[in-house]
Amino acid sequence: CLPGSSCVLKETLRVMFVAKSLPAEHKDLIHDVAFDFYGRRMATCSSDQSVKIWDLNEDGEWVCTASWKTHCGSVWKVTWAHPEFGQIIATCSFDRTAAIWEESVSDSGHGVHSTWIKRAGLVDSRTSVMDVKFAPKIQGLQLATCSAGGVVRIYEAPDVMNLNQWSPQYEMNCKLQCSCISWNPSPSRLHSPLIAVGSDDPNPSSGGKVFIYEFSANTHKWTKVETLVTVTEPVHDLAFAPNLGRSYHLLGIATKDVRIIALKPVRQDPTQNNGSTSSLEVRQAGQFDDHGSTVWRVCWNMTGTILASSGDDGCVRLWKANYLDIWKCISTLRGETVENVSEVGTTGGPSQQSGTMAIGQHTARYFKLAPTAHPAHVPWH
Amino acid sequence: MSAFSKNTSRTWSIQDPVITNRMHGIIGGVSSLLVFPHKDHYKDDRVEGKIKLYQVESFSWLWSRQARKLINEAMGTFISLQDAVKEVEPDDYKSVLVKKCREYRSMIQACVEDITMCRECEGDQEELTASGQLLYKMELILSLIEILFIDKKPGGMILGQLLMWIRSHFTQCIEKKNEVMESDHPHQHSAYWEAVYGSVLQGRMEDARHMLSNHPFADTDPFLSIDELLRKMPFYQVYGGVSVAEFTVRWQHWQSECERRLQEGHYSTCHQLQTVCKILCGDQKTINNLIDLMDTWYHLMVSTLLFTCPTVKLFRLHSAAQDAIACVGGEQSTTPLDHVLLAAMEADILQVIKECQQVLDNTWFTAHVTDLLCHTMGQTTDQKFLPELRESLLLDYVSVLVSHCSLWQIGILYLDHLGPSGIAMSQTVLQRLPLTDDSRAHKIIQMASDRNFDSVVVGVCRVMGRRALSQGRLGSAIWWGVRSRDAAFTSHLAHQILQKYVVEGRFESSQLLDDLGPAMLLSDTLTFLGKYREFHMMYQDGNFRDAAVLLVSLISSKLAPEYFWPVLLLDALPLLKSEEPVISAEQTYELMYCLHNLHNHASKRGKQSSLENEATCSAFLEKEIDLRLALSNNLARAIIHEGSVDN
Repeated sequence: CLPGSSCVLKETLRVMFVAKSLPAEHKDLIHDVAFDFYGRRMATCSSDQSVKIWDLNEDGEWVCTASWKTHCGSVWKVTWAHPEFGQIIATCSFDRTAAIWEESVSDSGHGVHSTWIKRAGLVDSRTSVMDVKFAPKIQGLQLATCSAGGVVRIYEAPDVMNLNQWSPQYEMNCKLQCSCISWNPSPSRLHSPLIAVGSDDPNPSSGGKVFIYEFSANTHKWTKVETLVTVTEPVHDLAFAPNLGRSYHLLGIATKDVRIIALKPVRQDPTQNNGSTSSLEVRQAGQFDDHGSTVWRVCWNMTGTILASSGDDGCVRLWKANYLDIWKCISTLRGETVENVSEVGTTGGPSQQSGTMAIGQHTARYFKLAPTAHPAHVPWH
Repeated sequence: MSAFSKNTSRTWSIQDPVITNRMHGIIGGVSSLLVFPHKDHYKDDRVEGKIKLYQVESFSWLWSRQARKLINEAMGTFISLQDAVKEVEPDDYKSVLVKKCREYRSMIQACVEDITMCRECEGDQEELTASGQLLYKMELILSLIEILFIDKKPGGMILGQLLMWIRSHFTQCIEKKNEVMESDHPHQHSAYWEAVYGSVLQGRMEDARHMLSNHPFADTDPFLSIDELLRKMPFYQVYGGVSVAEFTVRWQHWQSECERRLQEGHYSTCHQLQTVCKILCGDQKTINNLIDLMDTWYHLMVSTLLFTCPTVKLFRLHSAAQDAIACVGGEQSTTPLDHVLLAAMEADILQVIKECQQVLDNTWFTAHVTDLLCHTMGQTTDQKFLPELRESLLLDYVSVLVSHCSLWQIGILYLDHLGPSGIAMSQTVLQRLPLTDDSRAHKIIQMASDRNFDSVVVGVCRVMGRRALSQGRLGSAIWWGVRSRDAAFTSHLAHQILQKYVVEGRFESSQLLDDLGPAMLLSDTLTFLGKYREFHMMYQDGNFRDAAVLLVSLISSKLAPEYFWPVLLLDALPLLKSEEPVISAEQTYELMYCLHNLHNHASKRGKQSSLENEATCSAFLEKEIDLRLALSNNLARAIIHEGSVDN
């Protein structure tokens, strides 16, 4: 193409997504997928009561390296501890328990074999345990669970070298059935530890569905410091964003829409600091009903710059803020039935053909995703 | 605040019926998305065994091999620019920025050349063509930005630079000219006059005259007349020593001469020369008719200005641009690239950056351009948004780099210049990089310690220590544990090593333990382990007296874990039996006291202890008699020896 000739005026669309598929292997509904700290290991849990561990091999493909029955009921959530404490996951289930599992690697001569050993079962709940999350590593080996009975429990392994001992440290009653829990991932001198708890209680008149608890180093207690009264619909998921140098925390909430809430700790007068908890300034940074239906999951990326939301409309949307902190949807991902695309590729472009190629094959392979809408550009600013 | 966000996003589809209607997405790392179906599809037999998870990743042109050099070189220029603007004198500020801008431009051009070379031999042609176009656009925009924002000339005279811009990006007329002149009879070549017009429209008067002089009628009056006009056309030089007013007078004089000759019919015999003269007179209709030779509205605009308003200033450029766009078909036919260029001519920086994001898929360009502009406009007060925008766009660029397996190091170097959020991101990224092997871990530790990220260093060491432990490499685990100053962990490891010694009678990674030095003070057990190794060394060297002193002090200090006491006492056995007494009477009493304690403990616990312990205990009890005998013998010898020495 001659520089300066009309080809310059031709648009080129070069951002694209590539995908690779892997067979799920679970015999029932998958409830949760969790990446480890580095994103190179993955745990999946399902209604088939099992958990599977997946590892990236040298070719960049996910290989299932362990699969075992973990509970006597649907496994709702699975989560990884910080690798500083070893290779540890926690699970929670409809069977009213949560469990802690540690990997044990043995070299049998025929390659490395990994088995997961149950280190502890947490059986304090009298109702289904809906979510389980490890605390940020700075707080040691701590674990928070929340139950359908509305109780949040925090456990701790006082000796990080001994995972068999977990002692219940705190118990908070939210009075409403709980569905999800999230630790503030970046506590520091300026930010005391926070936990956000979401409730999927269906009754809007029961008030706010998101509770913020704060840990006071002076009193060694968790105290409810905030109830988000603007969120009265059932909350299905919530997540604090990793905080990269911001003066406030960001909380993503999956409810009837996507909410992004900023929580700014308000500096208190040190003379009045008689053990009382500090207050938070609550600001809604975004509210989006693009899904047009219930939102089930929210999830942040490692840098806390992109939020992924999954809704009943069958879409996963990615959200990003510009330099003025205005949040916008930057990408939408949807599943499509194959019928829409010609199998022989007479109508589909080259990328669509490669998209259909992956169907029915069990090996993982990369293929380009086809943009369905006109490639409207992404003005982030 | 509540809003349906505008239709600004792109939609992508995964063609899988199972995943339709209900799927969930989880992000891993910076930009990898895992999608899994979430609905009760298992009752449907047709999809049995077809349930899949999808890992979706954004794929950037920056990943390609062609972009690698660009990324590396741009990093060098970026870093040196940040350093330079801090140190440079205010007078040289602009020249530094211009220099850096040209560095960026030349690396883009080099990249285009590489791609052209590649295309001749290999690769996905479509892909390479697209890359070439992308780079060409970037260079075109960047050089315009250089002219309009960075390399501003005194008096705001810009046409000279714009002309250079057009000449270097629209080279067809030169190519055409060369083709024509290489033919046997240039003037009979079909493109002869097009090449002449093209040269004139770009102000390449020497080229036009050269071509005309090759015409058989070059000696006739009309040709000589036009040659004179072309030769005498005045060009404004910023530093030429001629004032704008003086230049304007000269130029007007020259153009009125052109108009006079045209009206007097100098070129009535040759309509092509008449066209050339009409161009010189700035005849809009004639120039517009030659649009095919210019391709774009911005070429048309510059050519028009060259012959109508050579002293045009920046603030007048906007209306000239609008006129030119109207000539080529108005706003409907404009592309995103046109919008970028137009925004630049309107001197609207924010709009330029916005539009750039739309033309270019990659964050490389917007990040570096915004950085340049931010430094350029740094002094002026009306562009307050620029620093935040710069930081935000550079962070976007870096997040593309750090999600790549080998480009992350470049990303970290950028983050050093991005203020507090850069430091925070740098720490997060360094912590989160997969520790694939030891060399990667050392690399990360190096980069983290260069930046005084102590917590990152400690974190990496702890993870490496844990991993070594799980693989049974205790020595390596100790080393990492010591580096991370993790007392609990090293204690645990020291116990493991000691227990292994009890069972196997030899040390794991003894070399490493011998080199612990002051690091052994991290935990009591580790201190004991280190000291116990010292004892072994002394014993092996035949330094029995010092070895004995150390052993007794180890026993009496109670540093040793209880399970290790039998080992220590048995270690004393050969020393007690040595020909020359090396253990004093007082030390012997100490050992006897320990043995007594141990005996009591063992018998007290009796059957409570586990089988394993029992085995070691019984093994020890067998030797206990031997030990008691040796102790009393040694005591006797020592008392005699000490008594005789005293005397």
